[in-house]
Amino acid sequence: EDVDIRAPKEEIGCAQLMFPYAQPEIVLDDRIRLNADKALLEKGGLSDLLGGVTVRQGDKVFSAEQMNFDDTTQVVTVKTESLFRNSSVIIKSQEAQFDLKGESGSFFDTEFTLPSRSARGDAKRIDVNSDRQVRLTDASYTTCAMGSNAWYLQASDIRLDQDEGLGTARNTKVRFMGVPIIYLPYFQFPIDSRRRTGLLYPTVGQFSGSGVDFRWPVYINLAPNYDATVTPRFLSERGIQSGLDFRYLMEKGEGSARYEYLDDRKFGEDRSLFRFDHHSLINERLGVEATYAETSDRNYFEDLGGTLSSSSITHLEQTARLTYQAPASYQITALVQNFQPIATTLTDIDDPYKRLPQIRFRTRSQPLYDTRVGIESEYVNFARDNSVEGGRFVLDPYVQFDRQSAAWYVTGQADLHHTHYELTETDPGQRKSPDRTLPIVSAEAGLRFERVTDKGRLQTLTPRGFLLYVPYDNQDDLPLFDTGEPDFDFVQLFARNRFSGDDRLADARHIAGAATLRELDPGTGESRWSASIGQLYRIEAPRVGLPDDPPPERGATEFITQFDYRISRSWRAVVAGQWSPEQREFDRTQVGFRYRAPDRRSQLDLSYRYRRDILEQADLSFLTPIGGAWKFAARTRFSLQDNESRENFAGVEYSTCCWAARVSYRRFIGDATGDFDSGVYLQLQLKGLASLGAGGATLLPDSEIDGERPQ
Amino acid sequence: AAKGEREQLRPTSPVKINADRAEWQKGGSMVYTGNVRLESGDLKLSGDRLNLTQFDNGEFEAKVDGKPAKLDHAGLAAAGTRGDERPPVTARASTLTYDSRNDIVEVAGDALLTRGTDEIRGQNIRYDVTERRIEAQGKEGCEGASTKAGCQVEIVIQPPPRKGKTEGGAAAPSPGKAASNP
Amino acid sequence: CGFHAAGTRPLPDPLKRVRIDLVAPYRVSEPPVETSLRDRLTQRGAQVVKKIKGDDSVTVIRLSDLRESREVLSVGSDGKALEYELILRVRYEVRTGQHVWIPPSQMEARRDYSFNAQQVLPKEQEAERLREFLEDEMAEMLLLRIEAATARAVEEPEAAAPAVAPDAAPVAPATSSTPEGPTPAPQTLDSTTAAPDAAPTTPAE
Repeated sequence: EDVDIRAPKEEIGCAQLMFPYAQPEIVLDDRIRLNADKALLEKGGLSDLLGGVTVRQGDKVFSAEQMNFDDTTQVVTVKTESLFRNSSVIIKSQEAQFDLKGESGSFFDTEFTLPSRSARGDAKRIDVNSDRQVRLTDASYTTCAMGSNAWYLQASDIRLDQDEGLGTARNTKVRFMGVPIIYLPYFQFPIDSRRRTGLLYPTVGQFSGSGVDFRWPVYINLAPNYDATVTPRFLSERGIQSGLDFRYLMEKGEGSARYEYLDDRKFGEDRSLFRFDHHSLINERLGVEATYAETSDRNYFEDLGGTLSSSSITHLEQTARLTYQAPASYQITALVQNFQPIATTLTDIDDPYKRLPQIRFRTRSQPLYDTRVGIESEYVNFARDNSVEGGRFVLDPYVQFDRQSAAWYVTGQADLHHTHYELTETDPGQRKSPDRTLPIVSAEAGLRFERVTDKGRLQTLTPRGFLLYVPYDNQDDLPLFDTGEPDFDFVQLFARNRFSGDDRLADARHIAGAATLRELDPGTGESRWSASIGQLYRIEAPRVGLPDDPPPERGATEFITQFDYRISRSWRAVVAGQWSPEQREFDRTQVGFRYRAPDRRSQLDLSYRYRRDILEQADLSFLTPIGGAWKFAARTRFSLQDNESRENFAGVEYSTCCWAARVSYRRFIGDATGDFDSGVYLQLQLKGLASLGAGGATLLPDSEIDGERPQ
Repeated sequence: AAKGEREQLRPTSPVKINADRAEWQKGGSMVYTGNVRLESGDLKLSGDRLNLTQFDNGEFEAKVDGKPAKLDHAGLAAAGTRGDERPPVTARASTLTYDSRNDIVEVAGDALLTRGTDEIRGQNIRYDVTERRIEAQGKEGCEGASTKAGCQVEIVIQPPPRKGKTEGGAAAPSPGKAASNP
Repeated sequence: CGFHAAGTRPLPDPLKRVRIDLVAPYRVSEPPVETSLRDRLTQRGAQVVKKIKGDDSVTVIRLSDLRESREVLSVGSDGKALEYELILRVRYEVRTGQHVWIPPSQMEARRDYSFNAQQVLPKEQEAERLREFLEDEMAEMLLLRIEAATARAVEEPEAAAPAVAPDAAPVAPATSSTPEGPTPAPQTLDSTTAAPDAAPTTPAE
C-alpha cells in the first residue's frame, strides 16, 4: 500500500463551458482527420475547409465554420471563431493558428476552460506549446460558473503547467465581488487535485485581548508521506505568531507535530506551544506511542487558544508508552508520564504525580473448565516536588470463573491484592515501606428473558446481581498518589474497588443489582428503547475513606436510572437520574434530545445536566442549512447554577460552488478570573485557488458540534 | 471493333484506350467494356465500362464505371525546393467522368481519393488534373448535420514522421490516464 | 407477562463460522471491543476462526478506524472543564465472500464523566474504566446488529444484499446505549451509528 497522506477532498463543481461534442475518443495514431461540408485542396497542399469544420489529431480537436490547413507545414489557420480542445484545456478564440506537427499554436481573444479544475477565464492571447505548457497573456481566471464573477484573478501573465499541475500568475490582482482584495506580484495555484504547496484560505477576525487576528496558512507538500502547514498569524496587540504543523507517515507509523512561537508585546515575553503525537510499531509485537504538549506559560490557551475547548484545558499530558504483546499470553506496558498544569487556579499541591516509570505486567490463562487464573502486576515510581515520593508495587493474582449460556451467566473472581511501597520524603513517623494485602472476592450472576410483542418486536429483560466482599485494613498512612473516588454510576455499581487507583482498596460487603428492559427493532437489531435501573445495598458501612471524603453509610444507595428512546429515525431522547431515597432528592439528572437528519446536513443537540454541588448546565447546539447556499450553526452552554452562559457561539456560512465565506462569533468564559473573551472571525475561501493540503480549520464545526477543535 | 485499338484523341498527348470489346453507339459515342484502361498523358483511368463521347475539336468525355472505377495521376518529382514536388493522386469511385475540355474528373458515389498518403472521402469530388486541385463536397442538404455519416467530406492526412521525436512520441496518452505522461 | 427464559435462539447460519478482522495499523494488543465480541460470539455457539487463505465461506466482521475522542461538556465559573464526554467510534462491515450483510457503517458510544482539576490521575483511570465499559457495550451492540442483518437475509435468501434498503441506510441512529450487562450510568445521548463519511455504495468515489 503506497504510503501517502490523503489530502481532504475539496469538491469544485461549477458548470463550465464544455466542448459541444462529447470528449473526443483519444486516437492513438497521429494521423490528422479533417471534416467539412466543403473542402478545396490546392496543389501546394493548402486546403480551405468550409462548413462545420473539425480537425482532429490525437487528443486535439479544432472546430470552426471556416478553416484552412497547410498540408506540408501541417498548420491550421482560423480567422473566424473557433473551439480548440486538448486533454487539458478548451479554448474558444476569434483567431487561431495551430501547428499540428509541432503541437503548438497561438489563439487570440480567447475564453478558456480547464475541465479538470472546472475553472475558466479569458485571455488576450493563449500560447500552447509542445511540452503542454499553456501561457496566457492579459488573462483572468476563476472557478466560478459562467456568468458569475464572484471572484476572479487578473494577471498580466499566467503559465499553466499540466505536468506539475501548477498555475503561476504574475502581478496578479484578485477581485472579489468586483473589489480588488489583494495584489500579489507572483502567485501559484493548483490546477489539478494533487497535493500542492500553496496558500490555503485566510481567516481574519478580532479577538478580545489580542486585537486584530489575521491568519493565512500556507501548505507545503514536502513529500508523498510528509507535509507541513506554516501559519503566520498577525495579532495587532501582541505581535506576529508563527505556527508550524508537520505531519508524517512512516512504513509502520505516523505522527504529527505542532510548534507555535510568539514574541508577545502585551505579555512581555516570548511564548510558545509544542505539541507532538506519534504512534508506530517497532515490530508486530512491540508498539510505541507518545503524546506530548507543552506551553511556555499557564495562560497560553486562555490568551491564544481562541476556543472554549482549548481554554478549558487544565493539564497537558506528556506521555510515552511501550507495549509488548506476547502472542495471546502476556502483555507488558512501560510508560513515563507527566502533566503540565496550565489551570491558573491550581497550586503546586494540586499537581498530579509524575510516573517515572510505570511498568505493568498482565497475563491470563486460557479457560479450563470455565476457570482462568491470571496476574495483574504493576510497579510505579511516583515523583512530585516537596511531597511524599516513592515506588509502589502491586501484585494481584486472581482466579476467575465464568460460565454462561444463552439464558444466564455466572462469574466469580477471587484476588489476593498485595501492595508494597518504598517511600522517601515521608513525614516524620510515617512508615517508609508500608504494605497492604487484602483478598477481593466477588460474584456476579445474570439472567436473560425474552418475549416477542404483538407488533413482532423482541423485548429482552436482563436482571443482574453482584456481590462484593473485601475485608477492612487501615490504609490511612498510605500515600495518595493516583487514587480518588469516581462518579457513582452503573459502571461503579459493578466495580470491585470503590476507588479508582490502587492507593486505597475499599473494604466492602455489598450487593448491587441492576436490570435492563430493552425493545429491539427486529429489522436492524437496533434498540428502539431501553430502560435500566440499578442500586447498591451496603450490608456494612465501609471504613476506608479519603481524607476529605468520608466513607458512605450502611444501607441502600441511590437508585440509578436511565431511559433511552429512539423516537424516530432522526430523533433520540435520553433521560437519566440518580435518586437518593434517604435525602429524597436527585444527586444527578440528565435529559437530552438529539436530532440527526438522515442526510446529516442538519443536526441538533439539546441537553440538561445536573450534578449536585458541582454543576447544573443546559446545552443547545445545532447546525442547519437555511436555504440556498446558507448554513447556520449555533451553540450555547448555560450554567443554571450561576445563571450565566459559559459559551455562546454562532456561525454563518455562505457557500457556492466556487467560493465560501464564513463568519463566526464566539463569547466564552476565558480565564480563571471569570471574565469573558469574545471574538468575531471571517473566513473567505476562494475554492480552487487555495492549495489542497491540511486545510485551515473551518470556522463552522464539522458534523460534531464542538466548535474548532484544538489541533 | 478491333480489340485494343489505339486512338489519337488529344492533339497534345496521345490517348490510349485498351478494352476487351468496343461498340459503336448511335449518336457518335463509343462504349468499351471489359477491363478498360484509358491513358491520357500521366492520367490513367480504368474500370469495367467506358462511355466515350467525342467532340469535333478532338476533345472528349470519358465516363468510366467500375467496381470501383479507378483514376491514377502520377506525381511530379520535386523540381526546386522541397515544396514543389506534387504527390501522385488516385481516385476510386463507382463512376469517374473525365472531360478533356477542362481537364476535370468528376468523381461520384462514395469516392475515396488519395493524394500522396492523404485520403479524401466525400459524396462528390471534382479533380482538376492540370491544376492538381481537389474540390470535395459532402452530401447535399445535410450541411451542419455534421455527425451523420457520409454527410461531410473527410480528409485524413498522414503527417510526415516527426524528426527527432521519440518513437511514437506524438502518440496521444492513453485515455483515462493522467494526461501528463506521454 | 409473557417473558420466558431466552431459548437457545440459534445464531443465524452465516454466523456459525466467523472471523473478526481488526484494522488497527499501530496496535499490538487486542482492543476490548474485539475480545468482548469474540467472547459473546463463542458464548452464543459461533466458531471464531483465524484467517485462512482463500476461505470464502467464513463470515468476516471487519472492524476499523477504532477512535476515541474526549470533548469538554461543562465548564466551571473559572472556565475550566467540569465534565468531559468520552466518545468511541468504530467502523464496521460484515460480508461473506462477495455477499455484503452490512455495508461499511459507523458505530459510536458515548459517556460523560465529571472532571476535577485536583484529581487528574484518578480521573484518568476512571476514563480508562469507562473506555473498557464502552468497548464492551459496543461489542454487544455490534452483535445485535450483525445478528439482525444476517438473520433477516436468511428469510429472503434471494433478496439482494440488504446493503441499502431504501430508507434503512446504515446511518439509522440506532443502538441505544444501554447494554445488556451492567446498565449504564446517565450519559449524554447514546451511541448512534452515524453515517459513514462516504455513503457506502456511492459509485462516484
